[in-house]
Amino acid sequence: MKNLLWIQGLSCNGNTQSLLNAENPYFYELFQKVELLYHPSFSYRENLQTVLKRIDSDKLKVNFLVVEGAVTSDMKFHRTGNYTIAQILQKLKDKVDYIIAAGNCASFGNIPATLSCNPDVTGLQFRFTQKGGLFPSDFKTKSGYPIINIPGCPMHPAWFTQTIIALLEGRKIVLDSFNRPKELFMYLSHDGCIRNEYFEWKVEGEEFGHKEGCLFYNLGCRGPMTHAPCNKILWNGISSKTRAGMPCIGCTEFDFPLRRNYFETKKNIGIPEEVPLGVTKRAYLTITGVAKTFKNERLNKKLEETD
Amino acid sequence: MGKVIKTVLNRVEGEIQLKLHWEKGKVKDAFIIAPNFRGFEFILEGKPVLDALVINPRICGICGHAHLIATTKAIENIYENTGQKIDVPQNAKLIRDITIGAEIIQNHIRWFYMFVMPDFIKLEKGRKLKAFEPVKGIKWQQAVDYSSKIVKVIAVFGGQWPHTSYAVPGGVVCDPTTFEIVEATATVDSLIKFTEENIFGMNLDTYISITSEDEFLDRAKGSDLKEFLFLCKKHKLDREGKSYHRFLTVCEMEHVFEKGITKKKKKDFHVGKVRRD
Ligand code: SF4
Repeated sequence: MKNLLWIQGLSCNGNTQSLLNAENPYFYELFQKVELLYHPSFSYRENLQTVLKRIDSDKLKVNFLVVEGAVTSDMKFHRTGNYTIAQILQKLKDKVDYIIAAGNCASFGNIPATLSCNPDVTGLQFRFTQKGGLFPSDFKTKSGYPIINIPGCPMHPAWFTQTIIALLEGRKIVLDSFNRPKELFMYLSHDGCIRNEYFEWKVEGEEFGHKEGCLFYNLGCRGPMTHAPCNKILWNGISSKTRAGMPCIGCTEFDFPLRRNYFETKKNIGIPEEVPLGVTKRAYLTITGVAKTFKNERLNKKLEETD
Repeated sequence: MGKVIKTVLNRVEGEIQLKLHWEKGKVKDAFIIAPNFRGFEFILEGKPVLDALVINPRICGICGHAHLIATTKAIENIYENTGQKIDVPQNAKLIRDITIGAEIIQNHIRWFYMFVMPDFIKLEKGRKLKAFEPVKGIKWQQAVDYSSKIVKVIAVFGGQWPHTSYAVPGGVVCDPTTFEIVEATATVDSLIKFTEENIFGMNLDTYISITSEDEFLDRAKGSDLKEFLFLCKKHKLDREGKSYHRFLTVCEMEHVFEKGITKKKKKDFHVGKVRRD
């Protein structure tokens, strides 16, 4: 059976917690298909140091190395035993078949990489937009894949389990320019949001707390600019932030923690600074102008009052 | 100086090292070292205040929702201190209590079955605690199922767990339908059944009416709490590492405990005097 080793850098454990919520397959079903060698939260017999020794002396071969959390080579900021996460990764990088970055921290650096007093904190192969993190941009593991990024803060469990299973089954995974599985991250988090009609007819939410209205124009929603299938593969099997009424904050993207004012749409003379991906500002304005001249009666009422 | 012993603990965000200085069979000094530093307090500096609703839950993956609710209340306090009264509608208060309650239930199940019980397997060499074995044990797997099920309640109101920021100063972002509320109550009912059958070993009303440990042990059937108490006593955990009844709490939970230092008599606690080395 193929095996999997999970290590943690600067992390909140949220990707582990999210993975525990997996439903198809369940967490423990995934680890019937692939052996869990070590995980800091669940292993109680072995410690990481002994596992590393076995790998070092080539007594143990690792197929999947999963990294949760941002990495640094500065001992003052991270240590596992006597090593930093960067040292451990340098030891392992050429010995494993695949390296998976689980979550935005391991993928792009995320919030830990915004700490200004340690500029060394980074993602594995990216630091925000910058290509090359701990590993250079041309680095590839034995399998020929670069680091496979499964961002999201946290990642959705299905994105992770399905990636691992696809690889176990010998399927080829196409990656996008940020090394995310293309077939997951080609969707925008806007795709499938139950507020889509409000978006199309420009019925804009002015404040939080309503079932009606789109959160794009005033309330900061980044759904139309964010690569993530959050409204296709629902969270906890039932919902998503935008469905509940919270704006998408773009947490699967490289620049997530560099942005500010998550609950407000940045505008210039009344026009959103960023328009949906794939549309020019001019086209967007024309379309919205037209949409606004026609009124969709249904969308201008409370849902409970519609016919 | 006597012997120095270092133990490594690792469960949630990074490693914790426990360093003990022993002298003549007694612990002379104890240090808890957390070698991982992310620095949220510095990261927050200069950020727009509402962004803390997004940043702070990410302090912790297992209890991020508690950080969200605390942040929301702190921001509400800031507004109030500057003279802007914030009225949180009663519905929103209830929804916040429900979602934080759901996370606390998840915490209890995950801590108990995933982070506490597996450690007994090592202590119990002869007896089989197979059901509690991580990943493979049936009780461990059930804990995954039910702890993941209860956080669906947070997803009903907040869209997802972990890491929603659905509570905002003044209320919550959602406006649930009757049917969504029923989805949440049905989930809670299923958790109550799980707790009765697996943790209490009796129904909830009986459990609440119990007045002594003996009565509990006597009446509980197939209870993992009973198993836990048995293991604690067997390994003398009830006697080991006993404290001197000096406790410190920075927070307050209404009706349960007040903040302060308990050392027989209660004293005030000043956050301002806390030092970081
Ligand atoms: S709320 Fe956001 S995701 Fe939903 S329709 Fe509007 S822009 Fe799209």
